[in-house]
Amino acid sequence: MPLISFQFMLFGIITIGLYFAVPKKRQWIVICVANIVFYAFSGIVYLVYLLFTSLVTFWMALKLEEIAEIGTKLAATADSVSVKTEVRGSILTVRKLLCGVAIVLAMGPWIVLKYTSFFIANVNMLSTWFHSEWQKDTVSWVLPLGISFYTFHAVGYLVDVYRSKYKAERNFAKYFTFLAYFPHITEGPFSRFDKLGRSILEEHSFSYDRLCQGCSRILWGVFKKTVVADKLGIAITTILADYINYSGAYILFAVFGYSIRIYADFSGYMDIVCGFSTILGIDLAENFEQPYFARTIDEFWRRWHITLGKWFKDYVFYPVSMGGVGQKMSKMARKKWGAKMGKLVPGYFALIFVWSATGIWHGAHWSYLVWGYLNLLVILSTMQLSDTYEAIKTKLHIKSDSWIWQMFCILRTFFLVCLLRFFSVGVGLKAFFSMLQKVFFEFNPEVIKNPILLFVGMSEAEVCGVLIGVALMIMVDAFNESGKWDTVKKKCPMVFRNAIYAGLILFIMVLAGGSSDLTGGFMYANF
Amino acid sequence: MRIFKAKTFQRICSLVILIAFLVVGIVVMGEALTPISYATYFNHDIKTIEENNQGVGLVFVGASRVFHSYVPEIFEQELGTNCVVNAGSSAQPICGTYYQLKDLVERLHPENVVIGVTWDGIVGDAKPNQQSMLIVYDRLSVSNKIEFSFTNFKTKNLLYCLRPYRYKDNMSWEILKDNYEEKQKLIYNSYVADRNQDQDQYYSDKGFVYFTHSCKTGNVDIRETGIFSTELVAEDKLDYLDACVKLCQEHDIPVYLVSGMSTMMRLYSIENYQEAVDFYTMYAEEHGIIYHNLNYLLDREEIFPDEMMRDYNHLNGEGAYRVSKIYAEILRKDMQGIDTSDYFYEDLDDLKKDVHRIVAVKGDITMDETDIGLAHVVITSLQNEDITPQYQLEISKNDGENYEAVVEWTEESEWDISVPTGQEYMIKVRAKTGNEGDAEAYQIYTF
Repeated sequence: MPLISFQFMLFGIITIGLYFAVPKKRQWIVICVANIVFYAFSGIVYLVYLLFTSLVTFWMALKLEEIAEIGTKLAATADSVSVKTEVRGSILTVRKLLCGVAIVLAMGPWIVLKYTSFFIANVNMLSTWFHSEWQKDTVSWVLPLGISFYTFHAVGYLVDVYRSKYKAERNFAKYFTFLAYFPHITEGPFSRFDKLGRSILEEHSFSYDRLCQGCSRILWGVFKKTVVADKLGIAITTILADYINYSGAYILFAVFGYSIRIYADFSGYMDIVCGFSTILGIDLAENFEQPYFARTIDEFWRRWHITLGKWFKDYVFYPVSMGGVGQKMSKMARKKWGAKMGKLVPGYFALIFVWSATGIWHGAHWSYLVWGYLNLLVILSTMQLSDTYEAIKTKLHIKSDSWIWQMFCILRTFFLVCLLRFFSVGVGLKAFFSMLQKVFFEFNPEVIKNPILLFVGMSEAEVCGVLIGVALMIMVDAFNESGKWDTVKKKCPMVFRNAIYAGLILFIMVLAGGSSDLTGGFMYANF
Repeated sequence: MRIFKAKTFQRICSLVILIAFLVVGIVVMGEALTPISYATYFNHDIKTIEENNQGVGLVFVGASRVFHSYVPEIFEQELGTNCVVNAGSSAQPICGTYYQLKDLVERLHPENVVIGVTWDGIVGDAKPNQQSMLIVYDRLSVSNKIEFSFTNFKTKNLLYCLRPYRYKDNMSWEILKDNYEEKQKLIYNSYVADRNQDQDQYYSDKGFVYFTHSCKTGNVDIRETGIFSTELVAEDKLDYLDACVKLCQEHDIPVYLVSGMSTMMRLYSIENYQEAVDFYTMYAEEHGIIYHNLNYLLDREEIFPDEMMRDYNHLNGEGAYRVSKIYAEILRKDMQGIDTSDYFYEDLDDLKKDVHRIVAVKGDITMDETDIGLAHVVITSLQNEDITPQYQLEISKNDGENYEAVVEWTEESEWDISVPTGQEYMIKVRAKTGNEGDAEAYQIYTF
């Protein structure tokens, strides 16, 4: 059920109505039923995968807790410290093993369904390299809705219970309600059980203010998605699908446009789901913090898809960097290169894992991995050369807090992000080099004299809509960045505010539609 | 409590302001994006009638065979009435007819109503197409618009009721400028439409649309054949017809049913056409109203040759004037209680006795897949059962200037013929009866 459809609107209104009509203690049941209905629209059979992951992680989490309790009791009754230590060690090993098995079981369906084809394709490639005749047909399985997202939610929950961050949920239906929470199942944000789960299970009263906030946020999200992202997608998809026949200027426009498009699309989706959740009184984590105002790539990734970054930080980076291997590497690096490197090396090592996972999570293709590693390269070089950069800035008398320097950093980072996105546009390495060649050697700047031509396949009205939309997005983000957005909203006269809402609705009415078939729904759902 | 009331008041104000902005925006954008259509002229005419408080003597409702066939001024003269309105519209579904009629009864209080009915307007479960519904929608008052759209439109099509959404593809400076200039011209010309004979049709007066082009006798293509059966009559459509009649009767408005004129081809090609006529005749009798089928007008072969038609299903302007004169006279006599059965044939068989020609012919020409210079031709024609048609095939290689016979007159109707290759050509299919003087039927196909 697409998020922007009459179906979902009706579904949403009914859900909200029932949510506030039922006794507050039963509100979570309404969400649970809504989750099942929403998911069933994508195909009842895929519910099996969701149920499997929920059951495995639910049951395993209970077992982990049970074993921990047993271990605590046993340790308490132990005669000596050595026995206590031994008991604790054994319990830890058993829990580790159980947690590992649970993670494998939970991630199994996702890995198999998403990466089997990639694996087979690479084995076929290796077979050809080694002149073997062995070849297998690749498979093309339909991924169950939101599998990339709910699998990570489930694994996060499991690990949190393993770490005793909070108690395991005893009621399967409540746990399922959290895991399958329908607004965030297709594209996130990645949520934690102690935050979102608790919020869903709390009682909420209807609030007119929250209704208004939620509706205005949904409206903004729909505007960004339908007027900016979908329309820009027409030109970008046209150019990138047939890049051979377009000059470098078009390709560069498409790559920059892609960055804007993906932000409008993804943040638009976030606004819709967060707005919907706001109406219900449920808190969803924010996923964006004005990412294109970042001054470094590292900062960019702390502002873009924030919850994914935090997930990898908590469940990949810290375990790797602070685990046994990380500690050993730290010791070795300290010996060889000094204390500073001793601190940095485990982090670098962990980052390799993080960016491998980030790349491959986005898509089962080498181009995504390369994109991940390129980002890593930029981040590592920034970290490693930070002292050198500071020294150069001091020599050149550049003031870090001057607005010119800030603007330069912002634009530089944006340009770098766009360049790195060449890989993640999903067209492959060969296409990337070909496009790069066109940008440098077949630029054809003539088209810039009439920039409207760059918006291939778009009508005048659509181009206007995109330009106005982007200008509005920049304005809103600029206010947010300066921390003045809430003040602006509060002080905005009622008439002016409503005029803007009416304007957004009219824009959507006149410009929305017609292009979703070309650009394929919300982009991050493809991941 | 005060704070609560103040907050509530503020919220209501905010909502009202938002709705006001939306309504203004929708109206302004709708006006800017909507091109001129017949609804523009029609709505202006109705508004003028309302403002001048003119009494309306007669209203026509129905589909395209209504708005192309009945000339208001002729009925005004014949019936001696102030004003006649032709509220037919393209492919108007029966549900649309009901709402159009309801709207006009409420606004104009007509003295008489004529409902155009067709053999196919009452059969089948197919839902009416969205465009024909919107044409009616655009002519209704606000309250009827709301009722019509919510009772008859699919949910996903409700957005089309908003003109900015419907005409969003017109969102370009050029089109907006053209629309504005056209509307300025319209106001300057007091809403009189441009009567350009080079156009296929133009808005004439109070809903009547004049078709300029003509068919040639015998050149009507065999199209859209169908079948009528009382078993195929759709309940919901019949309910709407009942509602139309009941609406008139409740307001003491005499109501008449009429089936508009079509080509002879249609009468011959629709299976069980007489059953459709009988259906409406019985319906009218059951409801105590009068029904006429103008296709059965006496001597129609003479008075309404194919030259009076614009296409296989509609009269042209000249034909409309001719049929209006006759029907206005009939209607006047109906209103006076005079028997008008003498104006008509008894039934289809009776009508066919006066038809001595091949009514229409059609050639199905398929190219051979293996030999590009060979074509297979099958001819079908419509005529009385006692006529044995003869056929001929001709080919022209010079754009129809000269034709050469490839098959001479014969009673056979299926051949394989050689056709030119590497150039354009035209095939003419001809059909005639054995009697000299009888008009021929023909069709020309270009390859």
